Amino acid sequence: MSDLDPEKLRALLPPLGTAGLESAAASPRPLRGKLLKLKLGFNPNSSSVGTPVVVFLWTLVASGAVLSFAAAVLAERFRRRRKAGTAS
Amino acid sequence: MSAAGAPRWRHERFGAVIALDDPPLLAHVDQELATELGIPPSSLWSAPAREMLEAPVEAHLTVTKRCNLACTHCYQESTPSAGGTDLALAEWLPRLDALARARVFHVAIGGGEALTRPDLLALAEAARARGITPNLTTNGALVDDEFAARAATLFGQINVSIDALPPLRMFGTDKATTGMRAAASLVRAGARVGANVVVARANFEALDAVVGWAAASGLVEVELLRLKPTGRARARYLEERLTRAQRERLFPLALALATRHGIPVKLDCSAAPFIACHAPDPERLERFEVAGCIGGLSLLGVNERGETSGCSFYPGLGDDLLDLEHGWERSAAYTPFRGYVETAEEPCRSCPYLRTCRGGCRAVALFLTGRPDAPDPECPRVEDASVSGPAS
Repeated sequence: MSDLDPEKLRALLPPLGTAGLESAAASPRPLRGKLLKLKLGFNPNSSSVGTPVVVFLWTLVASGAVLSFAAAVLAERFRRRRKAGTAS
Repeated sequence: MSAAGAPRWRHERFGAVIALDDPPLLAHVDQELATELGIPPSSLWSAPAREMLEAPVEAHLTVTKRCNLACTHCYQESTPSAGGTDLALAEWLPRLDALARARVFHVAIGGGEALTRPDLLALAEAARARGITPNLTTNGALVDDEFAARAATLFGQINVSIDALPPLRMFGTDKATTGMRAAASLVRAGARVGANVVVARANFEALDAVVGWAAASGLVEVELLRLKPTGRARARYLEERLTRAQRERLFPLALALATRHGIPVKLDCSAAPFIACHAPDPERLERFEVAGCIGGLSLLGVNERGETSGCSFYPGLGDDLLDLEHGWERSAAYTPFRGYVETAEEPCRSCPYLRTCRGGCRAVALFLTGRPDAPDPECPRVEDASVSGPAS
């Protein structure tokens, strides 16, 4: 697997969305705690559960980045939820 | 209905499980990160750790046994005349309530062919109204543009079953012609669409064409499903199952297809032994939820009568979904799944992938050995161990 092309791997990331990531990036401090497991995408198959094989390639080149990115997305979504709750 | 993009969560002993629909993800977070995110503490956080979750995260609903087709590999043994035991919509609603009370995040709706139910969209709307994301598996034959337009706004994702491209026919039917048309219609309507491919000996070399078509047609992923010896598939399983060489090639082939065509390719949970035989890092597998059998741990199967099991391919004991709250904790139906790691025999017991692979597919083990708690005989490691005999 030494001939991995990082650009191709990035293209294979499931869409993690972009909305609100500017504010996620502007988070005042790193998040405490740990993201224990991450599963990306839906599972529409009604008989078994699938895993994208490309995660094996991410783990070779960018697993930490994917986890940090996902944690930032979660933090941003919870912040947005709190703001909406405050506003309502 | 939760606002688009709003996180849904529930407490677990380790912290919390969080689900987002946009982007679609499911995350397990520890207690510290849960607190950081604003999730209040729970008495569960002082309970002893355990492998099974407090409730399923996902339920597979067989909403009908009826199907417009009668494929030779159908694990439900569906036919056009089946369906007499299907629950009515009014009977599904309290069962969706039971899933909502347990804070189940997703249902994967299938059959049979779910579109043979005229009330399928009402069922999906009822799931949405309860904060559950409905997903759908279909053979596509009954999808028209009107259905596609409504489905695009309701379902998280819709997977169309396409086992091979014409002229290759698999399992006694040509699903691809109508499936490809349906996929195109759903993509045009803005739905998130994937393809399900049951992989057998005869279509293994034809996977490249399906993945290439999916990538060129705007689908978001292709899921490769191992053929399982359940229902009608039992009759020809030994001739149709993957060869040893194909089982070993499946994982590198899936990686190659994903990178060649630029589309995510998934392997289903039953393929975990075929991944493990390539010796990837077990810790990283766990982190990205590359799991083998999760039946009865975070996954629930529900048949057309509303009865639960650990997995759609595995028989249940007649527990009703209405009693999920108690049944999830107490039913013996989940024992073959939950007890596997503790009771595993060799070569699983000493395998570094035991906790992630969990012995391969229980349905395959049951069919080939008659025992629900046996290691999957098609795992290359298990096969090698049985040839070489017990370790001294």
